[in-house]
Amino acid sequence: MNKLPLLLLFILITGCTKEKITIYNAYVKNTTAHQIKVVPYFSGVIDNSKILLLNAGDSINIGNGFDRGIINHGGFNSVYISGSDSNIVIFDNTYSITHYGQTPSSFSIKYYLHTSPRNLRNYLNWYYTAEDPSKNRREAFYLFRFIEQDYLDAR
Amino acid sequence: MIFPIIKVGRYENIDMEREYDSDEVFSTTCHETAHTSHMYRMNGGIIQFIQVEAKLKESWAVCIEWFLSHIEYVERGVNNYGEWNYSPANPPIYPNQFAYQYWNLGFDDEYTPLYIDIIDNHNEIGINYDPRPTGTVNDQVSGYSLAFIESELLRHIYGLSSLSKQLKAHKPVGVTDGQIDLLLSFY
Repeated sequence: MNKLPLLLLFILITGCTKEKITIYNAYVKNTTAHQIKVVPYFSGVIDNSKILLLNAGDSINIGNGFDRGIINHGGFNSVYISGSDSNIVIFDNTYSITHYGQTPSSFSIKYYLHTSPRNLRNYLNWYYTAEDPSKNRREAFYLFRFIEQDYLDAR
Repeated sequence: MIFPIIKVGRYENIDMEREYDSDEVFSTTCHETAHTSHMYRMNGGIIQFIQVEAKLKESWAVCIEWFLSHIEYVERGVNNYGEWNYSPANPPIYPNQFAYQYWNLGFDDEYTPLYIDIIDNHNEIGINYDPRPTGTVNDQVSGYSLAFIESELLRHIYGLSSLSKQLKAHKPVGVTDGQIDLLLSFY
């Protein structure tokens, strides 16, 4: 009796299924002429280990992780953003503007709501591109550029 | 009967520089084991199991890992682990961050929160899951228990139409056919 069909069926059933994965990297870039400090607040408290400092022209990777499956522009996690209430962006240690995650009950003097196109926390405000080196792997890239208008809005 | 060998990844990245946190390993182990228990629930038949749509297979495993991880880590003192408002500074990947309520059609269409939506009592539509996407699924369905679905319904479910039929035949008080149709239309 030819056992080949049975063997093929066994291999088909027991063969491993390779998980699909999306890797992401998220960068912030300072395109202004000013030094920028990004300070996250966690339940109203600053975590000093998660303060970003960007001199003019600097670019920093703030999010490197993955999601299961092939994801099309699904956002990302960053220890500098995830879990915090807001990020205060300070220019030249002088002018500041708050980027809110959720809309608060009271506001700082200068702020961007989550719906603002300049809000750092809204992943839709980030430049996004992706490529698929294989059918089971996607590599996504996010970029947020701080621009001179951000500085002017904070002044 | 075939007993599968289940392998769970240890490293986050291909360069093996970063290991998964223990909750990720626990959660993924639950996910993969759920596939095996799902197969047994299909009257113990691999032939029945392989006929189940991939979306239903994966979404069931997603729900099991979410459900068990929630129990485990709440017992360990993280009170809202896996809840719709759970997103710590170093969050786990789905389904435990925000209970995967930010899923939308841009995400993988096999790994969905479909079964989570059937048993939870949270409607994610319009909710801001910063820094993840805003919820888009209108989920007015609640009141089903995971245990009931597993013991009574799962072996009859092969795709969305048989899922719909089973859910409508066993509606909890207050859930309508229209609400079930509305929820499933997002998947």
